[in-house]
Amino acid sequence: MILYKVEGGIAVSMEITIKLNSVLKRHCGDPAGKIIMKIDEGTKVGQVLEKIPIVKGEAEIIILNSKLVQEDAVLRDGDVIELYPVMGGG
Amino acid sequence: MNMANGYIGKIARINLTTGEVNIEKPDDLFYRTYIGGKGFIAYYLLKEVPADADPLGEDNKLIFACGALTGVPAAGMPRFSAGAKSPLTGAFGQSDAGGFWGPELKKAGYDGLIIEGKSPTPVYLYINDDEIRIKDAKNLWGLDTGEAQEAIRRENGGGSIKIAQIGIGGENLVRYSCIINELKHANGRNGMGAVMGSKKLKAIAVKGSGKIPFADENKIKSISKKFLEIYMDNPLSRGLYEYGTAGGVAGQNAAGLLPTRNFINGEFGGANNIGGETMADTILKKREGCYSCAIRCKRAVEVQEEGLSVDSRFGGPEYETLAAFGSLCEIDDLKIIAKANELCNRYGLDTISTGCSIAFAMECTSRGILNKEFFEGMEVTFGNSSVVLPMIEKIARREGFGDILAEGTKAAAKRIGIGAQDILLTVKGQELPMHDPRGKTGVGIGYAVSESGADHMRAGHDTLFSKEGFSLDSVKPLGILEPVDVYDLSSKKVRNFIYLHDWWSFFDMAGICDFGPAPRGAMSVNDVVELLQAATGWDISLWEMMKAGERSINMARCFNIKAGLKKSDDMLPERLFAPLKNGRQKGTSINKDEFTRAISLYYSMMGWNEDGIPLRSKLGELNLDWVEI
Repeated sequence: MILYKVEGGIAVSMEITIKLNSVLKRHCGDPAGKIIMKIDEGTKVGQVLEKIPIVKGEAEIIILNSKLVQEDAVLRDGDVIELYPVMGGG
Repeated sequence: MNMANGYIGKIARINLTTGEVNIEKPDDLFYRTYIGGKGFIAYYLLKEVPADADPLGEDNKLIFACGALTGVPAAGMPRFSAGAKSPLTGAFGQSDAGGFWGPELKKAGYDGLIIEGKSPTPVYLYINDDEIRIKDAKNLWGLDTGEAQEAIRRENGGGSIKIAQIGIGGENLVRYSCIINELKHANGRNGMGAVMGSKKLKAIAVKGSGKIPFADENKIKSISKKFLEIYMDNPLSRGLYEYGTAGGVAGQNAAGLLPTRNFINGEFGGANNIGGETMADTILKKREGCYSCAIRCKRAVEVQEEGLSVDSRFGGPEYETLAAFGSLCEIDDLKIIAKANELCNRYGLDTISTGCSIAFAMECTSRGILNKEFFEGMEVTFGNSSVVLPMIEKIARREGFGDILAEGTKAAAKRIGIGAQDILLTVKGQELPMHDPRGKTGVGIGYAVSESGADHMRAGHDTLFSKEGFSLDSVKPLGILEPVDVYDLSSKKVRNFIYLHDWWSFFDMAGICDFGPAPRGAMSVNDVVELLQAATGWDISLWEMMKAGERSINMARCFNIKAGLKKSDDMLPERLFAPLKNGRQKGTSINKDEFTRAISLYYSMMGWNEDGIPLRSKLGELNLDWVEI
């Protein structure tokens, strides 16, 4: 498990879980690919993607609480994001 | 004009009716105009094969063609094309393979082979540098590919001999039989194995001692070294190394786009059991690769159980195979799928069309179109893994109902009658690959307009270009500068498809693997240009390469028009215009009117008329005035 703390957060702090799948796991110290992150209220998925050490554009499939979403989805306390890598044929 | 480097400068023409062998030496202009692979195939089909030829008759020709970069010592440059009029589609047929056979053919002294006529008895070709011999293969006919490879090596002193061959699928003219080299690299699609079988040609064994000449070997070395330094940092190349194409199963399923239950569904409950990670943790024996390629995306798997063994010599299942025998048939037994893959490679069957044929049969049962009696007592139902291996045997041997399925699902549906044609999933008679265009419409355009029937490797997929990031950045030199939504069917999507189709068509001409360079691999667009310059010595540009790709597309199109294909052949099956029934994209479909407009727009952008026929002015612009349609 890796904990990322967002500096300069505003009053309300929330915690989300990010699950990296398949080859994305290489970016994470946890073999299960799990990251717990504290975020500020109003944080969007895209902002979270910028804070984890993946290559830009690498996480193509974004699932928030079991539903497909885009990077503009706003996060809530306790949310679970699952990320899958891009695949382009083959 | 001096002959370019990178090529050998010789093409062997072998007539199996007369036994004559002639060596032709095309000039530099021919090579620079048609490049190789798909370009050579289109040239010879247009020039020499009557458009109304029976694909399994004496008039059809089977062309093996390397490209300018086949055998260059860099990642992703091992490929060659096999082509003919396809017995599955009746259209332009072309299928490419990696491995080691293509580079070996060039080292033996040939850029390509043109196989003509038909031998009265089984034969194989033995090529050892200048020696080309047509040898008796009566004792090889009926052997599986593993047995035949051993026998040919024994007969010719073993060593580094490389063998491309057919199995009993090709011998029995299964219309989606393939050509296999080194037991695991396939010219999989379009039924090129059946064309080879129709000519009674079991195998082409090649041994080469020569060296392919390159204009600037130091430059090639530096590009290759640069690739080795960066490829493991590229997410796509890294993914291919770690999990092979099998790594795609989990993501496609998560996205709700894993073809399931014959494309009725997009999510499969057993997906995790058949994916790349499970394979890596269970049956994976080793990672393998092609000539000079560091990516090593190939898998070799092994199973040793009582009643079920899988021989790693035949490689391992790709994503397409896992989905075709797995989710499409609702089967989550990885070992059975691995065995299905091994059998297809032993018998020389295309795993996509074979899996699709079984799924088609399963849906026929579920809808009451066919019953247990038709299947000779077998319960051919979704999820019943016990029927998969016996069905492959029956198809390969054309036994009982297998004889009907061996004709391809389009012909089978016609024979079965009412109801079966409504569930058909083909374009131009070729079964759909394992990518659902409902979630990536550019793939749908590719399926529809592909010269060879439904094909997922005509252009990079929409998902690579729908967001800002490394893969979109990689194609900016092609003029693709901004993200386009995966569901979009506007001019932006059509334009992107055209550029990407030109780019990958050039790959099919030059002998480049789609997994080496951008957008699916780590080598940059500009490095591909420089590699081609270094190999050939030509001052060739990206612009000229893209025009060459466009030329090959137009040539293949012209062959299809002469063969009688129409605008109506550029259309997706009805199921893709209906909503997905489960998963995260439940309810998603393609709007047929929008799709039809996109195809018309594609014709227009291509310089084709409203019926999809290239204008004379377009043919003139591509230096194809000689093509008559």
